[in-house]
Amino acid sequence: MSRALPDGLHLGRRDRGLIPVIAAVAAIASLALGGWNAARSLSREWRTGAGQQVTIEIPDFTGEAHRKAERLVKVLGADPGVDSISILSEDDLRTVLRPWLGTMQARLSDLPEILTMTRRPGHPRTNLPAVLDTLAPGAIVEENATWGARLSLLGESLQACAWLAVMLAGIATAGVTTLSVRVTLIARRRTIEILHGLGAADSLIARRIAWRSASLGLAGGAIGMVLGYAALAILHRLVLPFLDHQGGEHALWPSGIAEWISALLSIPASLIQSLLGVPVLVALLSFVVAQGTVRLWLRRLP
Amino acid sequence: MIRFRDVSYAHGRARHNARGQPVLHGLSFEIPQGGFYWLTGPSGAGKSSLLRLMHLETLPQSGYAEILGIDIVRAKRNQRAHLRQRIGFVPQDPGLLAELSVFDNVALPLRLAGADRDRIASEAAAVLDWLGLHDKAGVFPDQLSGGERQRVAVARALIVRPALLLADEPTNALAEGQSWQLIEAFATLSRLGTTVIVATHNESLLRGFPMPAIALDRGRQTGNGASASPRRSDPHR
Repeated sequence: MSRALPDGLHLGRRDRGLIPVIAAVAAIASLALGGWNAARSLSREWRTGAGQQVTIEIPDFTGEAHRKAERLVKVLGADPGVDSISILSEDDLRTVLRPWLGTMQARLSDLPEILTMTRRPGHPRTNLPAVLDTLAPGAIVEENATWGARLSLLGESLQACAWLAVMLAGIATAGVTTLSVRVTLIARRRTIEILHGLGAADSLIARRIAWRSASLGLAGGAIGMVLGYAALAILHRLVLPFLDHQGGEHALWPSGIAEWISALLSIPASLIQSLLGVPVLVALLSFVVAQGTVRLWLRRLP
Repeated sequence: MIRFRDVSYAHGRARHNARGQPVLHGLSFEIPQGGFYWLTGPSGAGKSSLLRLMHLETLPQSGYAEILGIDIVRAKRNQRAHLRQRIGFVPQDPGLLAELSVFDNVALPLRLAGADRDRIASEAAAVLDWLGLHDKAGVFPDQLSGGERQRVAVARALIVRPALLLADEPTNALAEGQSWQLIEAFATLSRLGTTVIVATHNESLLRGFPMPAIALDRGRQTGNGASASPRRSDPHR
């Protein structure tokens, strides 16, 4: 009922404290959704990307390492189970070694040959040990799949934890909404009894209070979503340097409005969609919980 | 039609008052549609409890109770809510909402019934005018005298043109002249087809308006004029 049709409930005066509480819970839910999204991406990456990579090291004791490496590239490159294989250039190898060996690595002459190979998912696995025994005996193989599977499982566990956090946020929202509605019912008890006596149906009273709860939930959810979104945008910016395809040229904090907007829009679209759903879901949950609470309370009146 | 058969009622979960008896005990009467009835008895007789029961604020624990043709115990909650919209109730405490003006208090039953604004405006103005409250429409209840608040409660009960009007000591806060005017107004309503039941222990009114009465004492019927045909008499005849 609008202001033009007063019913004496005056719900707007007492329950605005619910907004910051719901905002905090919604912000936690938003962060949990961000965590879920990140864990899902990492899990997928570990399972289908990094987990398919193999590193082959051919020690150069006889000066034939490079020739063996080229033979391996030729044979394995033609294998349907191999997506790509390449030899790490000497410059790249020295770049990799520099953090550990410093300037000393420049004096090393007999560096091993390093090959990086990516398996093609969904194809029969190449019998790599057999090929290496034939073409490059003594080569050392590091299969990323051995830790990739474990990391993938870890990622899935993190997803489950994030969902649990979202569920707990939902339960917390339902709890504070119930509490707020009960406080409203106690505060407006006499008014509700009078309205009930004048013939107001349960549905009318419940709907009136539930809409109020839903609007508070929507406001709190929107504030919480904005807070969570901003935090996730900053976290995403911090992660950017570790994503090789996005470069590491960003400063830690955005400077200027344009850079802030760019940072805010850099969040994956799927996550933005999930975050936009937070206020709507909070409002819906508040509406349903308030309806149930009021209808249950009204049962004490005949 | 109101039909009670062996109806008993006790407050809350205790089911018995301090004396170990139900508040209302084995009430049986029939009141046909239309007419004016007194509900009499000393303080604590159960008059208010019986009116609240007829207003569906409580339900009997035993017996059969039918209000305006509906079994109030078996009726669904929505049916009871709809039935309440056909009953005007004037409680001892006027029960006005302090945050609403006199106009909004009086208009409330029509709003709850979903009436449109034009009907609400015209009917509220008419009933306020009829009860001499037309100049109080924008005033809030705490700015009114006790008698004015009582008349606002009456206006709120009448605006829906109730099939049944229940009034619990409606003249308590009124001067004698106003009391007589109010009861005359109720008698007029009864002649128009509304069943009017008024609880009172005002002997002067009972003598001045010799209508049939349901008499109670300690929750039991001690006299029953209700099953007789209602007398549509003019009190000044």
